Amino acid sequence: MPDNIKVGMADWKIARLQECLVTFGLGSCVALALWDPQEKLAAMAHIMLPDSKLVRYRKEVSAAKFADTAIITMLAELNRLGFPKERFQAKVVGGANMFTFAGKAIGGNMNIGQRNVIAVKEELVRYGIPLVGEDTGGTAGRSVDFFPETGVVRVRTAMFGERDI
Amino acid sequence: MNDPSEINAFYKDAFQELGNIGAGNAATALSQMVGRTISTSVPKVMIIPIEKVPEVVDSNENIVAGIYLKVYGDLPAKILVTFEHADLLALTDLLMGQPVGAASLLNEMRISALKELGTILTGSFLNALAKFLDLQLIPTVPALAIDTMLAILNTLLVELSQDARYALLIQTEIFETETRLTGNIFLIPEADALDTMVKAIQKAAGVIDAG
Repeated sequence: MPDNIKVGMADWKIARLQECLVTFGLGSCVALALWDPQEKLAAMAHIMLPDSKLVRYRKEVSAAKFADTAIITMLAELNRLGFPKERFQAKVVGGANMFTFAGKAIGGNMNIGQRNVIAVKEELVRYGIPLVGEDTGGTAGRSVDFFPETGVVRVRTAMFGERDI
Repeated sequence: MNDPSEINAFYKDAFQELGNIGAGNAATALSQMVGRTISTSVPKVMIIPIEKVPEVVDSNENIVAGIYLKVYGDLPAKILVTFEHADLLALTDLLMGQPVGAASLLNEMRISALKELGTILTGSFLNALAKFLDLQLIPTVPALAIDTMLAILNTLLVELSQDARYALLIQTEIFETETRLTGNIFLIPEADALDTMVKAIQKAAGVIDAG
């Protein structure tokens, strides 16, 4: 079994070969998995909100908390370590809407989960990272195992089993 | 909440008392519904950066039923009631007046009973708070999700993090003594509710002192 590296809320981590990146309990949060197939290098962020500009405290917290600051920060650090962004491909998981009140999502027409997914995809387009897989939306929470060796992202749910993307 | 240094020991105690008052009333309501003794634990008051909540609250990949509602009015807040998935059948047996162990499937009727339970527990919790703090509290209809504790908490924390860096959580355990069914009630005030809470507590404490 590979060594698990846990990625907490608003956090991001890098892993190689014998390791496995894991994150638990994605509700409306989104896991962004970046993979370099050539070097078998993986990076994963647990993103909470779409836009750092909408909160008052953004300078005090990790860049990985927001879609708009997470991706640019990850790519810069990966580049610094010798992994340019051209090598990476992305998978996106999460963005569920777990509680609905009388058929309508909390927070108006578009829930936070949806907004997170859209924001992450927009950032990927901005930096030219191809999106090669996703498991997003719905009402179920998800946990993720991301294997650097193969690039496989295993999505686990409480009530609906697991699937690899 | 964006600055936890505002909270001193007096308010921590007061928040704990709010948990006591609310959960005590909820336990009484549940006790009357199921005809069993229901006890409550000493509430835990946590004031921590939102990202750290999953590490502090005993949340894991266990599956729970989460009953969630929002409170509007004088004290905007979230209330979450959770029950372990393993306990749901026994719990609904009690609610429906059947012998424990009678059911093997969580059907629509039992889901509906759980929602009803959520309405009653949170309603009695809020009533006690409203009376004690002399505030107007208006709850939404509860929503139910059956999922991991972590994913359910995650959803609430994300909503909270839109306005706040820190979370204030008041967690009280309620348990049925005979079959060891346990649940948790979380009161999570919104960022801008803190001031109102502190003032209402001061007022209530003043009333108690004078009386």
